[in-house]
Amino acid sequence: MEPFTFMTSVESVQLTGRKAGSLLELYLGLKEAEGSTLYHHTHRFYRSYSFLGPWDRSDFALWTAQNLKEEAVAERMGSLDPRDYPTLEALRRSLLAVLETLMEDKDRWVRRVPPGLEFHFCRSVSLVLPTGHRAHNLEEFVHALGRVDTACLYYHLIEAPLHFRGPDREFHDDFSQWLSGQGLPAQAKAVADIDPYRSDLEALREDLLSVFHKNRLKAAVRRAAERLGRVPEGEAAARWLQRWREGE
Amino acid sequence: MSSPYSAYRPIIGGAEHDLIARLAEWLRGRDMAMVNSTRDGGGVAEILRNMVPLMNELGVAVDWEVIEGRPDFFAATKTLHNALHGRPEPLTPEMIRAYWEVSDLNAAKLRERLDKPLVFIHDPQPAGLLRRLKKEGQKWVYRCHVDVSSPYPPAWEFLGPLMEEYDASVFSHPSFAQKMSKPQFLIAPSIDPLADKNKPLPEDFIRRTLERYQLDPDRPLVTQVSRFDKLKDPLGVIEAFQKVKRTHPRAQLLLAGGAASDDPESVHILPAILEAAGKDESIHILDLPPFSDLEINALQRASTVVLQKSLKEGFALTVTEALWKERPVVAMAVGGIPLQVLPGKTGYLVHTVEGAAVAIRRVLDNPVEAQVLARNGREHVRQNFLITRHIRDYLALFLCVLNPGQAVVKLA
Repeated sequence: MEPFTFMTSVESVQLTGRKAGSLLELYLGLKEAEGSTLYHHTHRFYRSYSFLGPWDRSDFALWTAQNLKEEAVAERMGSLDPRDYPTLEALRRSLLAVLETLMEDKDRWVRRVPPGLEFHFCRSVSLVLPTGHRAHNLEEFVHALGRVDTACLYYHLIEAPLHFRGPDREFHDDFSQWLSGQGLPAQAKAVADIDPYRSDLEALREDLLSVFHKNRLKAAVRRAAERLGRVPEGEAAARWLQRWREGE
Repeated sequence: MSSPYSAYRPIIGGAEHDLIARLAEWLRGRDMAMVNSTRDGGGVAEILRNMVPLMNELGVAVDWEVIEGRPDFFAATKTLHNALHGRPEPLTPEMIRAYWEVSDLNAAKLRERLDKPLVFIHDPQPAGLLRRLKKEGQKWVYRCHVDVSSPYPPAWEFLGPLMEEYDASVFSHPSFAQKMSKPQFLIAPSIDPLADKNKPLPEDFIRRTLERYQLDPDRPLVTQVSRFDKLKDPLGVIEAFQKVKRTHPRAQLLLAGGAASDDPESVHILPAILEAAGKDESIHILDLPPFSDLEINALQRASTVVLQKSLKEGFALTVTEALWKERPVVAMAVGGIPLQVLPGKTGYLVHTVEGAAVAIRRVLDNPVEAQVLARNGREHVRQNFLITRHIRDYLALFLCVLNPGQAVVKLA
């Protein structure tokens, strides 16, 4: 059996030069956008957790709400669950379908935002590199899982399945697929059942580890300390937690 | 003196710290040069002063070169700068001739030093070097630090074709993107949290700095730190402050600026600012010399409100600095400022002199609300606008330029 090589990725953002100033232009831009553009605007929020709140999950929804003031359409776009869409094309179709509900309302369809508030289409370029961690067995796998950077979790659970994996695999994500190949179907299924699109990749790590450790108390303590770290008074606790995790 | 890379670990966390180091390993042996037009004054020089040593420590061999100019050259590039920002200032044939003459002189001087796999040019002043020095197999990247969202057309007719000859260009905001055939990257600038400009300071140093400049530590202080430049709208700052004073007569205004060696216009605006301030003793104008970083740091930390009333901006690192110091920020919605000041979350975004005055009053009247936003502002900067994120983005950019046309670059 092949060892598991933990990879990670870094995103570089490119500008396409295309912009939209109305629902019509957003619709056309979305329809004609490359996959890397669709991916960027619907996934960049998951790569790095923002302290500003868990609700901003799509640039398309954000811009439609903030600049076009079409809150209902924005809410529907923002509430599309990425887990329901194994491919970007499927997600694109649903986003277009939400926008199409306003197509007949010509005034709203072509109403423009003030100059300077247009939507700018970008695209992602991913640089994929090894973390230096490899696992030949479950023990090594769990050990590495607790140490790799959060971008590595994002890569194996979200990015790689979207970009590279064919439909013939038993599991969508890389971790479950490898565990299944190791003869660990229960753990594979437990990992596959975890929602990777949660707001905090560190919390996702704890959920993954709890599958193997069954040590939910420890995970809860860590999560509480993480939350402390989000307010300035908790920075010291967060630093302590970081050192503890790194085994210092 | 810049800090060692290890000093950033407690600020950004071990995982991010290690990721950047691993990314840098893929650029070892690829020498590169960064080129700009001044070693002191302005945000670009500040970034390079701290970034270049860090990149070298990470094993990426980077040399920092600075072009030399003459007064007519810098007058021409200042006109070009203003026109790229949208001001209708034409480039005369004499200006264009001066631009290319100085480009030729610098090309002769830098020919060997820029014979590297990657050359990274900052802003229009050294941009012409490409036509004189670019060799087959080299990659040249243009870093545009100015707001080119609505340039004066003749200025873009001059710079646009030149930018097209670069292998890639980099902008600070999506709205600066142009119709170009070459890749355009989005990379925000950054501040160095450990540099003299931003590091924590003892309270007594801050107090002594205030005393030195005759500022009263017990009165509210509204501050704008920016070079003296029409685009920073110092006269608008004074106008907004005068409106604030009607309801807050104890408030003081500090306009702290200076001149950069590549900005001949800055010496002309100072008399106009002094005239507008008149005999109002609550308005303080400080013409700070280069390398006053500790003083600027102290003045920002002592401010009740930091204002950025710019009419145009590339990114406005002075806003980043104020947010990092947890200062309430009132800033105009121009250039890269809306990426930093998120209304109701990290600060107050305004569009007019009147709006600036209202927002300053709001901060003075609601210090608790302002402090919550200021705390958010610091965290926003920590996540997005520190020098380590900037280095990571540049490393990724260089690897993309060396592996063109791929949506996924596998480095394994």
